[in-house]
Amino acid sequence: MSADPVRRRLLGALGASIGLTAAGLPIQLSAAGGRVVIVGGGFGGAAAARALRQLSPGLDVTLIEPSAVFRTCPFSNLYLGGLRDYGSLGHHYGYLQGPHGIRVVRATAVDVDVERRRVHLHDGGRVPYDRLILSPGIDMRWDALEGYDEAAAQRLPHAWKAGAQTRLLHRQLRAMDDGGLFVMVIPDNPYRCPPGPYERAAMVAHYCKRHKPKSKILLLDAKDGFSKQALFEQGWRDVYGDMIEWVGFSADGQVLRVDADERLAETAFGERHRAAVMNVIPPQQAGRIARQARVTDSSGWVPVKPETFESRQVPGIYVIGDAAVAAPMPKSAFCAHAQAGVTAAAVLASLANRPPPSPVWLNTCYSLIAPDYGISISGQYRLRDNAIAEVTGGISPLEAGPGLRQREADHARDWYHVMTTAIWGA
Amino acid sequence: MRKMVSFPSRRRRVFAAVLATPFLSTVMSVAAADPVPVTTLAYGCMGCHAAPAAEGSGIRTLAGRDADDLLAAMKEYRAPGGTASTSMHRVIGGYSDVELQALADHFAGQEP
Repeated sequence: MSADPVRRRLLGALGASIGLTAAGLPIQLSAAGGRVVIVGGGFGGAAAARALRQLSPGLDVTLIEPSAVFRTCPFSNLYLGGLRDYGSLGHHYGYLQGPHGIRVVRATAVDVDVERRRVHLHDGGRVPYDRLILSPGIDMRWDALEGYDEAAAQRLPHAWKAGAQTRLLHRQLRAMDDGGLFVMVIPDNPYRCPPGPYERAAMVAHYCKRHKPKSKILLLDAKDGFSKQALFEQGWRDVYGDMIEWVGFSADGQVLRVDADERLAETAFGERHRAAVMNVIPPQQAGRIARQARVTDSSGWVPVKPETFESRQVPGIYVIGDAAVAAPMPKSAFCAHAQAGVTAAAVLASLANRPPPSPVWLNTCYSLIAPDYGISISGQYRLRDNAIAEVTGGISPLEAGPGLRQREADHARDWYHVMTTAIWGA
Repeated sequence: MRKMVSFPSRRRRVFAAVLATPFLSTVMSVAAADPVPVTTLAYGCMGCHAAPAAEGSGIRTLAGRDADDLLAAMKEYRAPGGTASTSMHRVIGGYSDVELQALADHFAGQEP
């Protein structure tokens, strides 16, 4: 059918019309100029910096990020499971500064002066912008779960931002006695990385199966269902037997109070679970700078215009990644990367006083049940009636042989390598 | 929302061509909305396919590959019961023929 000459000509003509739009873009945009400042050097922010410079090589791009090394949440569960070392989670900003011409300012953005369009830094510095992209990730809500504050997190780690917290949980798990109870407290939606807690359960089980086989993993969940649930439950059962027990909201899984000294979690109906190691993933909100910039609403997250991810509340500020309300897109690293590309194009169009190009976003999230057992969820998202809609997608089949599970596990590792190299590497 | 008046003449040509070509009915839904620039389409693929892939990776790099081969492979992923894959067959359903052709040409024109 590809040999049909009429069809070929037509496809060529249509392709050319699409190509023209794209080809015309960078030339006119370079002429427009402007200063784009990005706050946050994670999957969203660092990818946005790269995408802006790729689309408009001369553009003035500044990335504000306090850490010298970014540690990824993706694959931090593999570190807990003993599949990766801690160093492999770290990525630095050298390539962004050098070959790619992005100015990286190692500082914490503490406020945004939206009138004068300047970002305030912790050291008193001021960074002016024409367009601002915030990719601040999440902050924990320290007021949302009784007994769980920053001090409590030093005993009951959340490990939901990769770094010192991840190491702490790793240490506690290694120090746990065989037969110990590992309790995970899981929040209601929305939160960072919907399948993350359940992959973590599998990775903790993988470690325990080899080193502490009498141990149990108890998941206390504030909701009645979760991402890829049937696949996770099948995988847990097949690989770890009854080591992992999940208790949903209706079965009294919602934890209302924790006691850090006693390592105790108390549910809505008053049942008390005492843990050897307790991982508390609390309710979350957009990172602090989003609240300072007044782009968050009463939910704690950031409402955005779906076609561009520009704030609905403050013009000229775009918010991508976990902080943004982008449902039905999940709060995933893959989505943050996808949003970075679309928003970079929208920011450039805005600087050139042009309407934003039509968006499309992709997502794929792999989760590991075991080193040779991966599952995934994927989706493609577009604008429908001025809202984000999933136009196609799905999850791994329940009926599948070990070959597919192995291939998905391999692809998870390939994905991590490609994505982190594309963003932070050469 | 984008205005329909942005590129009136091109839009009319596209519509006329599409209406005159019944076997390209899948293009209609895309032509009704503004086309997604190929750079945006291609950026989505980079979530997994950005070069360089790791040694022995099961995910192939797309840059510099033959356009016809790429198009055939993408259509095979999209066909019901087509090539077995982990994720491709789930995300590719949303692309029109026109978009797949644009992607194939785009990647074929890139330096490997």
